[in-house]
Amino acid sequence: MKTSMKSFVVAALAALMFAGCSSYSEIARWESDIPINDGEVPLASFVTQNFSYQLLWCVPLCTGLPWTEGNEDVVDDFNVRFFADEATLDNNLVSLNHALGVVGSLRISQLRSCEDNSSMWSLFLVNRHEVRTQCLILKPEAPKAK
Amino acid sequence: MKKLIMKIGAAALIASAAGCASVTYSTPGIMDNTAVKGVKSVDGAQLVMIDTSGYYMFWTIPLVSGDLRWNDEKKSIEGGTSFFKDQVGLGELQNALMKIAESRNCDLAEVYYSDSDTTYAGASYGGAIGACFGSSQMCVSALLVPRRMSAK
Repeated sequence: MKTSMKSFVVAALAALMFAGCSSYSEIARWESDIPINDGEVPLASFVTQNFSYQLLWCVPLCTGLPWTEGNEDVVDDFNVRFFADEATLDNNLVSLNHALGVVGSLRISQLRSCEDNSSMWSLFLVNRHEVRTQCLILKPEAPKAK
Repeated sequence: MKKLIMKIGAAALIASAAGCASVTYSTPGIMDNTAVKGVKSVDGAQLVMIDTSGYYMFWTIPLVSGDLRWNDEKKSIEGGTSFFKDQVGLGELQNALMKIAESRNCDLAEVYYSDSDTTYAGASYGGAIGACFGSSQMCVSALLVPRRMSAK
């Protein structure tokens, strides 16, 4: 009983680590004619989030890898590496470049990035680092002014 | 054993305090294939992300916070730490962003701020101790566009 309980706890921790580290990317098509600033109708919205866990803010424990392959249906990318930190601004921009390739347009607007650190949940021992990037993807050609 | 736990706890707190402010730049050229609306060209442009956070007691007494300091020698902003002083705010982020843009001779585009607050009620039994403490985090990201590009 004790052994099976231990196995369950280990499996749960492993699942948590994979789920918690998994990068998240989503392309949502703009299924509407509602325009945004300047009367332009976007093609899609894009967001990517990547996570890493660090012991005492400096020893990398595990990380999600940036979304660099697959089609636009991918939301959670269960691609995890141990003892590395891939949650970086550059990697988010690599994912953005991949998303632009998938959608077929290189024009973007409202690009923003943000990072978030939380360590109190582990009494400051382990830091959960998150880097988020989002933007609107616009149609390849700007609409002509009326 | 108790001493070891205390030492680890102290190391963890110091590490957290040291990570209260950061400035991150993307690699130049990583966005060269992209076209950003309203910007003539993003060749050589860099995305910069500035982040500060602080820990407070009763939301009003600052314990430790990130400090964005201008380094005159390196001509750049560096992340530092301030104790019992609140350095987390829109003004601090904006000043840091302006200094970075001016020192690199860049214009700014896509400037966005975000902030989040957390309380630690869940981190202690019954929430009574944790609820006394909270943290605030503010972030700004912007595109640094070299002036020679934007003047086209």
